[in-house]
Amino acid sequence: METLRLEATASTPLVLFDPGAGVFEIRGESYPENSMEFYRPVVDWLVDYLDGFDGRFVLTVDTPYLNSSSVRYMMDLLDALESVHGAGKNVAVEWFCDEENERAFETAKELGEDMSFPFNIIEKKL
Amino acid sequence: MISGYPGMEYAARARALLASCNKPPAELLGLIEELVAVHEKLARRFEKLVRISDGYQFLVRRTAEQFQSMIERTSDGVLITQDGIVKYSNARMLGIVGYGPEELRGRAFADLLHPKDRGEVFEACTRKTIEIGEPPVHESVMMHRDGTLVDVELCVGGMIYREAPAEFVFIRNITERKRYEAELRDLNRRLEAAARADWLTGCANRRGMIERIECEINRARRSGNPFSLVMFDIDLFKRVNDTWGHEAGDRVLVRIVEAVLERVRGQDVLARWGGEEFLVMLPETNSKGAMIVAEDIRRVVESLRTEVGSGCVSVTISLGVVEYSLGTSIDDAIRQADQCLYEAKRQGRNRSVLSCSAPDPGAR
Repeated sequence: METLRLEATASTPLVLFDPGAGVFEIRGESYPENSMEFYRPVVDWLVDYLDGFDGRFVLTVDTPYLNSSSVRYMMDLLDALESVHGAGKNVAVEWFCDEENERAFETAKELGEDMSFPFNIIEKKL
Repeated sequence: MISGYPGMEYAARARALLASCNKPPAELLGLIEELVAVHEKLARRFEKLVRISDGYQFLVRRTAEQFQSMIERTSDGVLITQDGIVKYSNARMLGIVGYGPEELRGRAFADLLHPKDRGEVFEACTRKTIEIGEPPVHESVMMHRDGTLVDVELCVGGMIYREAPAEFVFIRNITERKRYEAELRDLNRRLEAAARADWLTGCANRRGMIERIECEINRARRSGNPFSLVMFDIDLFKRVNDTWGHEAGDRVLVRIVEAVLERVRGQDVLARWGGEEFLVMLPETNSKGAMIVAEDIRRVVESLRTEVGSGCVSVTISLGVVEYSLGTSIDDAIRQADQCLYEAKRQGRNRSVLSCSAPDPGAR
């Protein structure tokens, strides 16, 4: 599949899904004016990709701030992972949080607690 | 199962309905259970989303409260204005201008400023797009409700207030500082003057005189016009002190200074050079003119009568006169005047002697 690359803006994160390099990451603050417009293609790409892939897949997320509608689409992404994990595929999430950003930790915990695949919350030292 | 969601009731009714059927299709039963599962999942997601959202909302609220509390308790007055109208003020601001919160809100910001500041300062404080970076600071004057003027320092920046562009203004009351600065300036002026004045007679002292002579040398160099020095000393002054006491002597000194200052021109400078020794500088005056002034001073002092206690004191003075010649050091010029003064004493006192070392015309 072709690489998906959305450059970061003030209100949207960098999205880089590069199967060739084995890199799947979302980095930066996320509060798009239209979350559906921004995230729908991202979710669709991932669902398509996960459908056909084999091997190990790790999604890296490093966003200091997610607004509610971005959280909603994060849930869609995680659901996609959960569903292929249920089908026996090897998936994991590495979720980075700034050391002092308590809210981001809480968000990550909420999002990770229902997932059966490895969901690692990693503290970033400032 | 998550309760409180209407979907669950519909599922229960569908199950009951199916159970009452004779031969319910197994596929339909499975479909209902799947619907219930999806419904539960969506409900959980919804709850989760609300919890996360609440967490952020709480954070925003707490942060806003903290900043609001800081703004309320800062030592500066704070205003937020929109289109030149006050929308918010902290308690300190009310104290600076003497209005209640309800009276200040809705008032034109310009009304709070001294009329002289309603132009430029007002403009600066209400500009829509205030540059990013360190906010500019303006000194200004505000008017208290009771009419008194308040010196202030205004620090202005742009912000968004209630979804619309606004300006914030930090107002620091600097009245005390201004007063203190003025006092210091005044004190400095007085100290400066005192450092150049004679403590007893109020005329210049040595330091003051030397500074003036330095200025005069520069001026003479530019203009080519000469100036002269007259050194004089009270004859037999020790007798006055011995006979009438030092207080009487001091009074004589003061009277002589008063009399000489009355006699000379405004630009002339009189300094007390030593105990009973004085130096007069006469700008724009050659030796001939200086001799006339010296004789004039001598006669004035001779005719003075200073009342002391039971009697009346009269003194004479001896004078040495020199025209300054360019290239001469101040010390040398004064020494020449001094030598002439002693020549006058030697010749019998109460007279003026002109320096015989005539200025070199080529040096001018």
